[in-house]
Amino acid sequence: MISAGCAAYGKREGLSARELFSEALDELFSNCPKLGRSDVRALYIGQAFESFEHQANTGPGLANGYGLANIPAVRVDSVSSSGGTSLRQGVLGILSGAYDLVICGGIEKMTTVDTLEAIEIISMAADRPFEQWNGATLTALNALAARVHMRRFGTTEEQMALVAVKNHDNALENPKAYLRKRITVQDVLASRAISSPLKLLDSSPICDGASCVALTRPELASSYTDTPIDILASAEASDSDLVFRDDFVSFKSTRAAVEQAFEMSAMTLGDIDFAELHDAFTINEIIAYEDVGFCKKGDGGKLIESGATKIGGSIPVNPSGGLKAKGHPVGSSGTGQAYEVFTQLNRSVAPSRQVKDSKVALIHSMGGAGVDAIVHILKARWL
Amino acid sequence: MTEKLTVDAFYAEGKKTGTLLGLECPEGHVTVPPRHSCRVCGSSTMKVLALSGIGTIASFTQVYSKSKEFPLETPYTLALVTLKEGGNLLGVVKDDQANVAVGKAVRVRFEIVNSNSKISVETTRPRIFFDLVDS
Repeated sequence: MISAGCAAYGKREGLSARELFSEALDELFSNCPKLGRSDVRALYIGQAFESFEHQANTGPGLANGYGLANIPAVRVDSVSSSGGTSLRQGVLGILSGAYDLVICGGIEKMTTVDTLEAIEIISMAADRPFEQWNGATLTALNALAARVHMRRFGTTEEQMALVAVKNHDNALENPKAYLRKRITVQDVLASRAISSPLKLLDSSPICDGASCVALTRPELASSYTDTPIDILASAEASDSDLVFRDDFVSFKSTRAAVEQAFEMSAMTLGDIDFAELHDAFTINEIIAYEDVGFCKKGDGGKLIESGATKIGGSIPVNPSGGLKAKGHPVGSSGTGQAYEVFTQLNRSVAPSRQVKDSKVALIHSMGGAGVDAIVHILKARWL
Repeated sequence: MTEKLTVDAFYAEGKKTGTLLGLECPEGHVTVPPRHSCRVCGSSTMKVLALSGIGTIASFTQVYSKSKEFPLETPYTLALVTLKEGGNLLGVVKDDQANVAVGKAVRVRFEIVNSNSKISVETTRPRIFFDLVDS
């Protein structure tokens, strides 16, 4: 990975996804002056829902609009993990030998419609005939999982709220973050119910965003930058819709992708200096702690309570603010996480949220309520 | 010989007779909702069977977001129910919220809820509801 760009997340009134993606690309090219548009051989783009702008033709439209003319430009979709899938498709494109240099990105323009309409669109991630049709929203599926976790392991609403509080704190000095506002456990507990036990402040915000990274073959990286980041593992696994499963407190897709990623990278948990984990809802971060292996199954609530996952803790999680506070413009979230890792390892984030001495990071991106999971492990080459 | 149970046939039977249909593989695993292969072992040799329609609440949530697609008054209580024979279903429990709890027994019921779905097969498709029963 030789460069990265990210449009600020938020309600970006008057700007289309294409225009936001151009912002992200402008930053990517300005971060890497040796990289020219004609070096780019392919574009992969994560986008979950075309309904927000009534715009298909995502890949060719984005590439040619920016002057990345006539290259293959394909959209990939695994709902909320589409950005992670885009990154992985780029890795595979490079590894196949087909391309020397690719850009992987993600977009989502969500504020074109009101919140209820947005929830209906997002709920397309759930199974149509048996989940959506019988009253499930995506929030509801995660709420069902949360209640099982609470009953089985004693996880509390206060512990879930602590995830939101931490991630809001982390976002305070992230210029790309949407919700740069400190909140308290009380604020979360008092926020209105969306799908009990999940409340408004347990949920990531609906917003607009775009992000991208540039990848090249490892041996070519030093001709573009002195500070390349090596992708040591890129793993993905899928799973059935929630209604077909028997285990609601652990996501098999995450566990499978994590296992593959550690095997591929020859890294162990102890090598990971920080992680960006998928926290569309606070319960997701708690379950991800356990499925990634930062604590044993059922102890995710205790882990957040211990402070270990704060910046400065033993395993900082979501120094960007996460999907929860940086924002969750669905298709962009995965490459947005990669942007955070790029800037953290390049030491270009605000000192207050810099993970000190970090060299190796893990990214986890999840589709729907665990129907897909992508795990990347990255390491700064020069550190 | 393997038997198929389409989504449409599953709902049509529920609407017509109230019977909950499922699929069973040679290992005896029950797959509900219906799909091509067994949700436990992946076998694609399946036969259709009628189930009791009885299950227990594994989890529930009060949903507050209004939806044109699912025009029920909010909040409604959505339950995840594990069926007696195996498999799970999602559906609404139209009962006092205070009566709903994990572990309670329910019976499946199919009921039409009119919506403005543009998908042709959905215009006559019933939804799944659960009634609390004595366990």
